[in-house]
Amino acid sequence: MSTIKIIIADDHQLFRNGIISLLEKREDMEVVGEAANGDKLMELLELHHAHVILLDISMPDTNGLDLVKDIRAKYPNSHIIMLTMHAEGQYVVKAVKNGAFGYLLKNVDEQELITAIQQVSLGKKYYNAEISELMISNMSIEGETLKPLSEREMEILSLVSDGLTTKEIADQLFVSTRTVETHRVNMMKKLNVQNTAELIKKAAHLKLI
Amino acid sequence: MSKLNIGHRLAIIIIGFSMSAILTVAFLFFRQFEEALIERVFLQLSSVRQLKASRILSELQSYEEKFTQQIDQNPDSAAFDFYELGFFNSWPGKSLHHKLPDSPPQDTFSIVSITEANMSEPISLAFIANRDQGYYIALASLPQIQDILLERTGLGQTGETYLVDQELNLLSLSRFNLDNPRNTKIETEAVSRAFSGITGEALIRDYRQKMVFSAFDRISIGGLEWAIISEIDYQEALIPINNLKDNLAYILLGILILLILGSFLVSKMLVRPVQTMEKKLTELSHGKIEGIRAPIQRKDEIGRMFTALNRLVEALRETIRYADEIGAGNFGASYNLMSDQDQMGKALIVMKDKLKAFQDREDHLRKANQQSMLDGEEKERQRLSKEMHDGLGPLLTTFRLQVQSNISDSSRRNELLKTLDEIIDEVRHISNNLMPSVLADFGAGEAIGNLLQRIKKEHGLEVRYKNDMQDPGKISRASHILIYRVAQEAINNIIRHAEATTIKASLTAFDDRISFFMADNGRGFDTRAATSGHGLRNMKERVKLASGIIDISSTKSGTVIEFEIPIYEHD
Repeated sequence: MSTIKIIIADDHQLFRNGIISLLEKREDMEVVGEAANGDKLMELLELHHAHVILLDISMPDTNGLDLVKDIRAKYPNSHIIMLTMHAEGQYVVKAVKNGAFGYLLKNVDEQELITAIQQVSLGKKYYNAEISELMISNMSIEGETLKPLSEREMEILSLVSDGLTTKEIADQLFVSTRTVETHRVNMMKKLNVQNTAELIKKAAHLKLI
Repeated sequence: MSKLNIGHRLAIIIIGFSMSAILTVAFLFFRQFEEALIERVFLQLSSVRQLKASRILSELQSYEEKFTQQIDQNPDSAAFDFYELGFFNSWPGKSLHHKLPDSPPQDTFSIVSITEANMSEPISLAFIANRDQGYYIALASLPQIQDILLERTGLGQTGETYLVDQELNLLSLSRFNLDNPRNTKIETEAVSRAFSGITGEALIRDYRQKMVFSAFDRISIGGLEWAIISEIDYQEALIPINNLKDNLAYILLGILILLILGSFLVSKMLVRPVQTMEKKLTELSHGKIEGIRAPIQRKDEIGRMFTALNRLVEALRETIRYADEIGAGNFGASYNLMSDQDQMGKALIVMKDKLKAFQDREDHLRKANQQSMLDGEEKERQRLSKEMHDGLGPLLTTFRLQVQSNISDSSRRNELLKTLDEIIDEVRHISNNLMPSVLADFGAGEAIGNLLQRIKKEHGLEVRYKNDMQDPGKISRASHILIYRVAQEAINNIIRHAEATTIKASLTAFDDRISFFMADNGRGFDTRAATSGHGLRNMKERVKLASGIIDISSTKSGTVIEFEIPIYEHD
């Protein structure tokens, strides 16, 4: 069995050393390089092929999340595990979206780190339960809509067509009446109509409701 | 004169002019009347004198005729008219009558007065004819002459006509009770003029030394020379003129009173308004801004003057109101210039603009100061947060790695690892509290979401949150921080005070603004009396600083807070 070649990108020397010493005890893993920032990492990748990249998010002059995209595009065979202090869903979601294969917090147990590296090196994704939960709780927000009306506007449109008053809609959607009014005006602008009746007519015509 | 007010001056001028005109007319009229009156008195006197003289003369002539007839026809028979008639060969003289002269008169016919000195006796005359070598002598008493003289037609109370003989003795009765009139010498100018042959009239002193109008003439018949004089007292003759004088005085007094009343009215009509105007203008100069309160009915210059004053006062009030507004800092107050020449108004507008510019600059500076202070604070928080998260955190994790690899005793290792994990969590927590990294990396929408998520977990509240900000890059970092901080404060308020069980919140991005809305079902609070613990002031300050609007309404069944932050192109 071939060794898993690993590159570590983290701006903390001590942390890198800790990880390296932890991984070097193992036969099946080899740390082929370490980088303190994004530029250094890209240089390393020019020279060495890595199966797995352990990537920090917050590094000087570097946003690890943005880096994921670039690496994915340039080195599709190098799989990335985010190794970070950030324990918020947003980071997880963005990392996953950008193409990271795994997401670990820095206070990860040795065993889990090993497992993650092994899984990811095989092309599998690795998220533990905690991370999965973080991801799920933030995923719903990220749904993209290509419709001319935003999701929110569609929601309001349907309520308007149900005959609810602005106040009732505001109550139901927990926004202010002013916000509902603004949405309504914005929709009328987008659909190029003059009043609410026209708005509903046009929306029905476009099969939006 | 210069100290008198114009009312008095006007009155004096009116009265002076009118009175001098009236007095001149009255004087001329008076003089003319006086002259006419005197002329009339003289005319009357002379006609009375003329009449009486001719009657006396004709009486005497009729006696003369009768005498002639008697002696021609029957010289011895005594006639009715004569109490004595006879022919004397030689001059009888005093033997016939004691008043006859001693020597006979030379003329063929003559009349001689034989009137007694005693006034009770009538005038008596002796008619003497010298012919037939003797003398015919007839004696007669003529009481009718006195009767003629006493007829006082047209001579008033003091008028009289009397006769004076050549010896200047008064012959007829005087109206003025003289004791012995026939011995009284009448040595007046009238008598002397009459005897010197002058017929006429004059204003002279009579025998009583009183001023009289006098008409005089000479009666001359048969050698008898009398002066006939008609006189009337100056006083009485001039009674009409004195009456006129009195009447004129009354009329003038009446006119004077009318003039005074008239000038008072003129003063009231013309001068009062001027005085009122003067008073108002003086008050204006003392700063008391008050116009004419009563409605102005006059349409003349004075009415227009009052209207102009009221307009001035109105304009001044307007200017003052405007100045007050400026003073109160209300630079939005509008002011209409009264005209192109409204210097004060222009000055005020310039002042307002300057003050407004000054205030705007102040405002801007203050905002900038506050903003930079806030920015500094946030920067510091972020630095600290980052240091803990990215500096202390990795150190701790490194330490954890070392513990993991170097401590072989598994129970001790796990214990240490557990403690370390707790420390790391705490560091993460503190860092997050200082400033969540999500705020910087994913914006306020996500950071608020996380905050609410944690609330939900830690406090068991039902939380519904909608982040409707698709593009966090649209607004500045400072705006994200601001939105997050205000929302955080509001959320903290709910946790600390509201005792709510549900929170509904949303963040919505529009083209030109970001709107945050949050409603809870807590017990609410009095938005006016809220203590500083609510951090309301802080929230409002921050929103205001970003030129946003914030609205907080609270009832016993919950609080609704919403704010909007405008998005600027340069954000």
